[in-house]
Amino acid sequence: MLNITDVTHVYPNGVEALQRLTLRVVRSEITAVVGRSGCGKSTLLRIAAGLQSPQRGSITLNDAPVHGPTSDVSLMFQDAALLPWCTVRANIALPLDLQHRRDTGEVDYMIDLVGLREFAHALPSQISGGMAQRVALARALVLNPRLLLLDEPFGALDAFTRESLTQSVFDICRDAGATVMLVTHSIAEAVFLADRVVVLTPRPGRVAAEIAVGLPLRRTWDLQRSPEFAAIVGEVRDAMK
Amino acid sequence: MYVSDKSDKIEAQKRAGATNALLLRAAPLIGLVAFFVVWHLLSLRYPPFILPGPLVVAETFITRTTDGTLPLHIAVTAGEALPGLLLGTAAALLLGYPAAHSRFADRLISPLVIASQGVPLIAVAPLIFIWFGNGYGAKLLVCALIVFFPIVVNVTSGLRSVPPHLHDVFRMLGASRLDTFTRLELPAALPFIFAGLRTAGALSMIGALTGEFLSSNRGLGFLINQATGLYDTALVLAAIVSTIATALAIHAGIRGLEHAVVRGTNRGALS
Repeated sequence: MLNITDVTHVYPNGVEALQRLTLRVVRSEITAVVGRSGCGKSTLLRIAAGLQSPQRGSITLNDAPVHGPTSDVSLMFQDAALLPWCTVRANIALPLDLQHRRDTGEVDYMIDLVGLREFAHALPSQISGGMAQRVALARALVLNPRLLLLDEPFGALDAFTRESLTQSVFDICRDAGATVMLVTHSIAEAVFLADRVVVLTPRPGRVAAEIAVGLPLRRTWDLQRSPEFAAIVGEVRDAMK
Repeated sequence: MYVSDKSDKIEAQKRAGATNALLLRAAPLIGLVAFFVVWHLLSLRYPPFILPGPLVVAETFITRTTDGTLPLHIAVTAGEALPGLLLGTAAALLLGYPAAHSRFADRLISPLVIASQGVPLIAVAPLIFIWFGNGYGAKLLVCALIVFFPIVVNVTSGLRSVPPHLHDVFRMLGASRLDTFTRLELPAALPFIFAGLRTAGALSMIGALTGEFLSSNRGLGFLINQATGLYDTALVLAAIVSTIATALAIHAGIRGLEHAVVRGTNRGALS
């Protein structure tokens, strides 16, 4: 699916964000990338999205080189990044509008999928932060992308909303069979959501470890109390040291 | 006893609050009445050609309005101010867009824009009349020049106010430059542009009057100039009142347009 091979990225100020990083995201899998602040997680995601070009290395999506943004890849940010003057519905329909594609029911499907039917005509200022993130998720999924990139999508939310939204995103992505690469600094979130956790070293980011999460495909937050979950969290923590 | 004291205190606070609110509402009216009273009292000490009283000015205003003098000159001045405002706005949009998107363009344009504000309009306007003649076009240019600065500053700030993540969203979706401008940047910049327009609306009247002071045979600037020469101070003041009323009307028009455009389509702010 997505192959990131031997990627090195140095910013103009001389900061080396990534160093010879190689990573593979497998179709229909959720891959979480964790690491300490400043280890180059977000840079990696922007490179995977085609928003930045690395100085060295190659990125391929289904064996085709990635040279820039493409509609095959969607990106969801830490803040919902919604258009405040557009309704929930219009925000979700934005990708279709910009690509001059007709809505053949995708928008309604997405509104139902993220459970915002009642708020379809509300403005972003009239909904909560958690709802706004769900709108952003629906917008990211409406074009049915091959790859969904999530950049700390729950970082700006309170603990309770974060927990319930993580569960929603997990269920939605599983139901949609989406291929997801998630960047987070929360180990518990990474283990809960992912099939595989990739641990990055402190700057410059390199792959320190890849840990397979052998938990059941259907998960709920109760799983966090299980010894298996704790063991994987411990393994990820050890890899980050 | 204690409870009763407390409720009395709350009642007293409520009464004081209501009185304060009433005073706050009446403040503009009180100020206006005080101004007219002081003006009237002062006018009793001077001859009408030095300081006519408010009643004399009101009488002149009504007479010159009914005989068509003031409406004619108001129409001429507004006919220069409004197109000048449009011209200045168009120029500000044309230059503000590259200035907001390119550091090179910003560095190229900004010093010239700032320099243009360092010279009083009254010093530049005669040059415009020398270069472009003393016709209608030159007056439009004077208006456009004065309104350009506040609008270009606001256009640039507004276009730059779009958070980088939203630009990334549009890039990821393969949006064209035109789509990015019309669907993201312009709606985001509209509140800024209208803030600039509100300031520029009043300035456009100053531009129009400056042009008429220098070279004109019609318009409020001309009327003020002519009436000053004739020591018709009541007419000067009536023309000034007309100028203020026209500026307020332009301001109200811009507010109305803003309400229709911004509140209608841009009901939230980018954060």
